[in-house]
Amino acid sequence: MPAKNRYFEDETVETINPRIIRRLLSYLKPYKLEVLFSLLLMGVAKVAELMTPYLTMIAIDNYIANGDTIGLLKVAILYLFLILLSSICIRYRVIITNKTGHKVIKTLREQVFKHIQSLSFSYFDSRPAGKIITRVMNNVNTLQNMLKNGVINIVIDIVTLIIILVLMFRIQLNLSLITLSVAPILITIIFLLKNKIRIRWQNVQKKGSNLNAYIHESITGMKITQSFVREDSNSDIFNDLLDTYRQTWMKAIMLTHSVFPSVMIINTVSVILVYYFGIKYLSTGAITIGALIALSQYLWRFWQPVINLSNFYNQILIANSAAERVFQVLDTKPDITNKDGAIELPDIKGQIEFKKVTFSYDKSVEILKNMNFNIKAGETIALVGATGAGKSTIINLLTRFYEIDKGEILIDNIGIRDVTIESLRKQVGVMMQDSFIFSGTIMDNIRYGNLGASNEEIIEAAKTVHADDFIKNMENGYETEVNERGSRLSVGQRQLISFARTLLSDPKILILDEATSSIDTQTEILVQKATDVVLKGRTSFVIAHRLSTIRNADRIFVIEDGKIIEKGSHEQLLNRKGAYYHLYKAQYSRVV
Amino acid sequence: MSTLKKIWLYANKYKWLFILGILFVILNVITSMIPGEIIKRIVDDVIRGGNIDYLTPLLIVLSIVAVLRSGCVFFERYFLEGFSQSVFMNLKQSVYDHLQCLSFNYFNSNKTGELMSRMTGDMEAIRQLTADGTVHLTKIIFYLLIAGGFLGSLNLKLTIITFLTSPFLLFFALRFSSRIKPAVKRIRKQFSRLNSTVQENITGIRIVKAFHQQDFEMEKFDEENNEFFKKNYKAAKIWATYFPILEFLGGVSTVFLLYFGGRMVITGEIELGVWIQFNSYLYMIIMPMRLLGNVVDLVNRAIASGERIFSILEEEPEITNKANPIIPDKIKGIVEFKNVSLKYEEEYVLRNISLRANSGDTIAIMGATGSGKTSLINMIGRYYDPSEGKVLIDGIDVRDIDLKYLRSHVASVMQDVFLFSETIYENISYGLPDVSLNEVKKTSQLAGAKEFIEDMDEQFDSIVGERGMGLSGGQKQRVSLARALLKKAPILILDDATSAVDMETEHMIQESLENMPNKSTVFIIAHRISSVRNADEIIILREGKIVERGTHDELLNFKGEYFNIYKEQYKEFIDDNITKEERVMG
Repeated sequence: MPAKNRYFEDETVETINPRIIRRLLSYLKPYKLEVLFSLLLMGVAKVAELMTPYLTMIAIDNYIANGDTIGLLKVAILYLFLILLSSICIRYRVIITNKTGHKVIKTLREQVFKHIQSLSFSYFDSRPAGKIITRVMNNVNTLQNMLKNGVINIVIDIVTLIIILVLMFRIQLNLSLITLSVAPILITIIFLLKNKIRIRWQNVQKKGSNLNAYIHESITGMKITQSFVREDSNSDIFNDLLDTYRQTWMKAIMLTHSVFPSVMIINTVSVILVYYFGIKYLSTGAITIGALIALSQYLWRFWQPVINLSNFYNQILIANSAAERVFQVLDTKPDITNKDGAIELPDIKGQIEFKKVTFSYDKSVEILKNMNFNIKAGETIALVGATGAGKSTIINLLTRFYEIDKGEILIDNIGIRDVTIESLRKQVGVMMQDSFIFSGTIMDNIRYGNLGASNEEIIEAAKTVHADDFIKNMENGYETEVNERGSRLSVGQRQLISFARTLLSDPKILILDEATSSIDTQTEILVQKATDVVLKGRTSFVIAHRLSTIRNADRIFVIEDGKIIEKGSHEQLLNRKGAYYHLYKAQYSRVV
Repeated sequence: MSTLKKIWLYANKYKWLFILGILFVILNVITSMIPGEIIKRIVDDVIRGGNIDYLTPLLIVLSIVAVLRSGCVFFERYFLEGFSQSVFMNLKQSVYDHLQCLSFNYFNSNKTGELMSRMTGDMEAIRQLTADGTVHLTKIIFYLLIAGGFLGSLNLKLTIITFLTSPFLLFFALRFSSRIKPAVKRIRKQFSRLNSTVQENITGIRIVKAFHQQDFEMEKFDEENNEFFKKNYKAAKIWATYFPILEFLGGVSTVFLLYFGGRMVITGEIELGVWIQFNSYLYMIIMPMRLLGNVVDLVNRAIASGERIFSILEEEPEITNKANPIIPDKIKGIVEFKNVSLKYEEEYVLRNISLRANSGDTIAIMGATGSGKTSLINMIGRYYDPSEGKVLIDGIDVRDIDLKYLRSHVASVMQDVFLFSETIYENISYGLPDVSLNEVKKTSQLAGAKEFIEDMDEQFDSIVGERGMGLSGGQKQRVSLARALLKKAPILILDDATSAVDMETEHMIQESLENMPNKSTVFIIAHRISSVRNADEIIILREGKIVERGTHDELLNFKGEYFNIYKEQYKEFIDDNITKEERVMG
């Protein structure tokens, strides 16, 4: 069942899974050299930067104390050289890590998108589109940071800590140990805080996404809201959501802002230790003034990598949950694929056979039960039956949008599972209930049926379905831009465009699934005439509610509960006085 | 009025939070100067001067200052975050409430995604300005003033030498932010292009697969994805150019201080403690200068975002209550159109329409796509106002009736069915307080929805809508019909409300509508003769004008457009009937 949640319900949180992290890092494998090189650059820059307090110490103790200006100049020049070196290293590291990181992201996103193209209808049936989009876009983006800097930073931070410790111990071992005695306390505090902070920010994120979902739905459903005069209560709900959001935000941000004060206080304690004991060491000559100052400078630098490392844990958590969602998509096996050795479906005549076909969407309820029929090439078959009887299902199986559980479907005596999906769908054209319009021009939308079609062919197709008239009347004719989901067009106009699109693909088998339900009758009369022409020489399935449409079919299948209960021409079925006859009579008696 | 001023209007209410926050920022800056002074005293007085007794009090002061500063950091954030969240909430709520007043036209011409990005990204820019921008800006000003002034008073010459590079630093910092800004903007723009490509692909995946255009889709995607990479890389290159320069210039100041300051210590011009003090204040001046570019960027972004947000707030609602609107005791449901015309962007959509529906009448409207059917009925609930003429309900011009009162007495089922991501129960009882489940069930039965709802696992508690279960078109239509029926409004509008429902169910729905006690005045738009034939008046629209009107029988006799439609939809019945009759005769 689909994940269901409403604006006030949250989604769940995950923990770290080393397998996922390893798999994520494996995307960096082709860039081993780049990663190593940026590590090197970063290392050089860090060492250069960390040397500066040391140089200051030397300047004070060796030169300033002795009044040696030449020596001072030498130190200054060395210092200048080190920061220049560090700047250059930083420059190239930024370039390399960004290039690598974004390339990996690009590849990963491409992989996910491509994989999604191969998934079957059942995947999309069970998930809201928004969730899938989030996986391709936002979840992949979240990994960016981890792939760009994550690995490098953790190495660098550890190295930095080691270098600082080594330098401090070199300057004065005992004093360093005394001052760093508070470090474990701070490290514990930071890690505890960070964990709490992460949880609080996750809360903010959840509340934020609930808020946004509510805004989105409010905007798309505005017409309903206004016509049901729900503005005031919506405004109250929104206010509550905003208020909750603000509270969670404040909780998260204030805890975040308590990290720095904690670091500052602990650092002050260690500075106090440095001077308190340092002055005693001074009198014994165990340390110099310059060394004392250098030590206090290193202390301050000691905390930053510690904070970074605590952040890093959070980063992994975030990356882990994003990666898990992304890999979930990648690991979904497409349930409908070309089998090994699938052949191209040759040009067909259009004969169709269903042999003992059984099918269910979710294995619990059988939608089609042991269905058998045979259709001659060029025949037009109308499917009749109540909503949910299984009419659309028959069509979805023929195009292999879903896979049958048992039985066989043959086109021109070739099993549809033995041919490539592409070659099958090229020759079977479906016009669906929900006519989807892409953003772009009307011309592009029709061309979607056959990318190679010329403008003339497109206009011809539009004329055939009588869409030409209204298209010509739009401000830029065929070049008029239609926006997302074609909201500028009426439902009927959308249906006409998608009809033209289907025609343009020139299929041997044509399926019209309530293709014209929202077209007015005047237009439909015209479309009907065109359809008659179009259907000639093609095998076709028509699903419609209007008996007039149905009556013209060569044969009518009456479907009930996944079974064909009647088969035959309009005349035959009327004479049989069965289900069709009753359906017909009911409608007839209401009108004439 | 400038955008910043407008933002301030929404912030004014919370000015005390703001002022308190700023006060703590200033206190923070002042207290942060103290440790440097203490270190100087330790070096000069205790270490070099040998006054060991001073050490303990100095260290005590140092620890007090640390606690004080921690408090300042905490409270500056507490007040300024509180301030910024309040402004954020106030502004967001105002925009939300305002959106609810805007008319259908507005939502037709503005994409949902565009409105969403104003409610999210643009709001975020304003939040950042009010929270981080204010902190940074105050810090920049006061650090430069206080730290700069303090160092200058210690030794002006050394101050000037040390900060010799700062004009360059400032120059590059500002240039960096002016160059990175458009690059980041391009990244964001490309991200949204990539996003809409993916969105379109996934929402339209069934079409993609039906036409087997995966390769074409991959091509489209690759192009945008590649472009996204390039834009990101470009921004990184700008970063890679300026960031090292800024680092380097900051470092040069340290070198100057090291060499020239060291020389001054040697010549005795300054004490060693002063030199160390310079060292500890150096970054208090360099950091703010580097941040200045950031702040300028925050302000610019907030202005640009503010403009987009205010363009919503300043959009005048087209349809509003007039002063002292009428609230009638009861609406009987007499609807009258008097010479009504409707223009949309200078073009007539409807021309000179007159019609009258008595209480309980059914008026059916037919006509080709784009003939103005939906526009006509949308004028009853005042979703559009007529450009000329009048729409009257119970003899009162709808523009004089209180808008909410009016709309709560007109129930409609729209062509594009929309369900909220809530339970079916909540969807059907939408807009009504305290409706019993029983009542909802009864109404769904009337709308032909009860059966399929009860077949679902969670029945009336099943969640539908974008974030819930998928329903078929016909099922959605029936839920939305139930929602309208439950309102029990004296006027009911059905805009192609049953097009995806099968004939049998439709017939059942029609009968239940007919037999409802206190039957509403019904306006129905439909294409099927079976849906309209029992109407009291059938109106045929063509290009915004009424071309035929009358009852079913009248229009059949008229042998015009309606007759043609009838013939088309029912000729088979007629043919069959004739054949049968012939058979009987024969």
